[in-house]
Amino acid sequence: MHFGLKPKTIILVGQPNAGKTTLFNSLTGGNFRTGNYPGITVDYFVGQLNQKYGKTDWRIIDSPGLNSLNAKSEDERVTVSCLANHPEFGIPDLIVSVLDSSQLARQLYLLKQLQEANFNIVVAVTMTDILAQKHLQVDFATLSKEFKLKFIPINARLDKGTNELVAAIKSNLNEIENPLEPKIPNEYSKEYILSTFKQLSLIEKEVLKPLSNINQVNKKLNLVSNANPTTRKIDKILLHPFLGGVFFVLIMGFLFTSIFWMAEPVMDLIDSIFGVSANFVTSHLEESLFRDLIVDGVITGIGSVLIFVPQIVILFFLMGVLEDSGYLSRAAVIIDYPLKKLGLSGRSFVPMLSGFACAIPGMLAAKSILNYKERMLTIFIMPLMSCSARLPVYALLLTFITPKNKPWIGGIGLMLLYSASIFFGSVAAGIAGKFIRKKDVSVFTLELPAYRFPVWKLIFRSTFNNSKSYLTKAGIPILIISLFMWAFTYFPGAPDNIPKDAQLDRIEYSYASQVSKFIEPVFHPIGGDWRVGVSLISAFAAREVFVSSLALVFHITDENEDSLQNSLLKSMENAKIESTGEKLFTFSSVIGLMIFFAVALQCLTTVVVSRKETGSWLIPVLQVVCFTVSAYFLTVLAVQGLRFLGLS
Amino acid sequence: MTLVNCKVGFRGIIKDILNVENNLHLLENGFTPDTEVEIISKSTLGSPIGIQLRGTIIALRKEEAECILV
Repeated sequence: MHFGLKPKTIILVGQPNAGKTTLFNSLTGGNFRTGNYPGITVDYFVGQLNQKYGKTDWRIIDSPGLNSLNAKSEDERVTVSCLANHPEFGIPDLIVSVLDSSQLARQLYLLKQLQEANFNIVVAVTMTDILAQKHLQVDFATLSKEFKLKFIPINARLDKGTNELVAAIKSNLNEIENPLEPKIPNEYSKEYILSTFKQLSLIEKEVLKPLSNINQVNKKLNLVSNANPTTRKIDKILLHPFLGGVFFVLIMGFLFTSIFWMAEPVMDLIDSIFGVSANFVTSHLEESLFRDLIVDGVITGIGSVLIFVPQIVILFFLMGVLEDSGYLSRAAVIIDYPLKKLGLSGRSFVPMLSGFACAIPGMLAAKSILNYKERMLTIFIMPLMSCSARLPVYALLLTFITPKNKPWIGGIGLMLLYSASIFFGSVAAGIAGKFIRKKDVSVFTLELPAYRFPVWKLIFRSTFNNSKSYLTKAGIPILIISLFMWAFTYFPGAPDNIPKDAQLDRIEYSYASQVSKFIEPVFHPIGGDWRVGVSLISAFAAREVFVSSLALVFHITDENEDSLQNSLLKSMENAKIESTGEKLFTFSSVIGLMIFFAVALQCLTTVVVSRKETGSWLIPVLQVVCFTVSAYFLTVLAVQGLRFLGLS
Repeated sequence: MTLVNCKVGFRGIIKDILNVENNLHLLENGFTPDTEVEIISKSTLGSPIGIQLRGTIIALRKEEAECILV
């Protein structure tokens, strides 16, 4: 035993929406890392106390929100047992129980369980402002006497009360050298829950006092059981059977379109910065393997990671606003019924929405789904959500089939592609739902927190942290895979017997081309040849690479972005299948390609993240095989069907 | 009568929870006998139902709300 040498471990525990994460952010100053509980896909966060509260060696851990220590799923069981004995840090020195005072009895239930399990506890009491809107306040002296614990009122949203909380933690840690070993019962009986709630309701009655300036509390209204009055009023509209749906469509429509129009100028900027730096390197280095690696491998690779950052930042920011204000849980309620029919849940909604920007943050967000089957199913269908990497491909292909005088056809085409994505997702969920085993009962039981005005500082912080986590979790795999795909489309290079001036682009002699030529017959039924094939293969690095590979195999070398697309369209127009002399890109083959892109899992990074988030290779392998094989057959069906109808 | 049969705006006291052994999560969320509840919202297709109790609002699916007798 090294008394005083071992850093102190402090775990924040509280029910969902109690304000735990806000407090954690305030205490750590947003400086923390993510850890993973063993065997399950639930994360925890660990950080150090912000220097402004003084220098300590504390490890502060934020645990997932819990309603009770009575675990109902495997994930909850691990989460609960890690409270008592953390896999990395052992027995915690202190639990900071975070308690929402506007619903005291409900929240004291978890505290009661923690106390009975022998944890050493300091209590942080939040939402006293919400309570004050009901003209009520907490009698802290009585509450402390009742539980023999320290209760500190805080408002972490405004950094109020946190100094007092840190002082209370310090004096507690000084007093208690070695905490008792916590003992959490395996089960809590019905009788236990009922009698505990009876007792806690009495305590609640005793400690909630009218605010001193109000003498008369309307007893008839029973204010204690009422939710926040403003929230009740807003919910009458936002959860109205008809208006609620209208607002839902409006809010989500706004969110969805802003992801695209707000991000576009920044994405163009990033794109041109990488274009310029690639040109700079090309003109300043001798032609060599090294130069090609830097330009086509490294710069393009980093570019394909960063190009999506603006969209992801905007997505996280707007979702942060919706979450902090309290709307996201309402959105989950509104969409629950249709999603439940597909074996998903209202809780799948936010991840699916993220999936329209990029499948990776979508899969990461699926952690918030408590039910195992619903979480796996949400991750399973995520690659079918029409992510923004498909957009450049759709843009090129739609331009190709849209007559110049009828630009609206392209718009309708894009809308159909997004609808198709939702349709394919539903079908896949419906089918896969029959096979994924049920581990725990599906319960919804979602708390709808009081509406609040968002605190910008917190939203900026969470946007930053979420974007950082996207970059670290997805960035490295994307980079590695792009480097690999670069090598695959680069080596071994032209054979020696071809004179230098007669050589075409390296991609033509690459392993990717060789593979593609070897399996060329596969591309015939979908109206393609080996050149389309090699572009499809390189799209496994990232879907939008399809466009640049196509440009490579058709020898489009123009540097200017606009004329690149135009000259690419022109050469697509003229391209002929070598063996038959027929046109390569026709209405049917282009429709086919779009269907292929809508369904196929062509993003290796998604596969890697799916493996991480589901904890095994089963689901990612199924995703690759099922989606890519069905994409192929759907494409064959579409191309041959259209040709049969005379629409070549 | 169960909570599913009640209209928005209904206010009453929980009498009992049906099938209680499978609905311990309802008890742990504060849906215990003698608790006052009010229906705040019903979604377009009747599920989930927003129920106010103990100072907050909880959304329950129809199957869960069916187990709450008022």
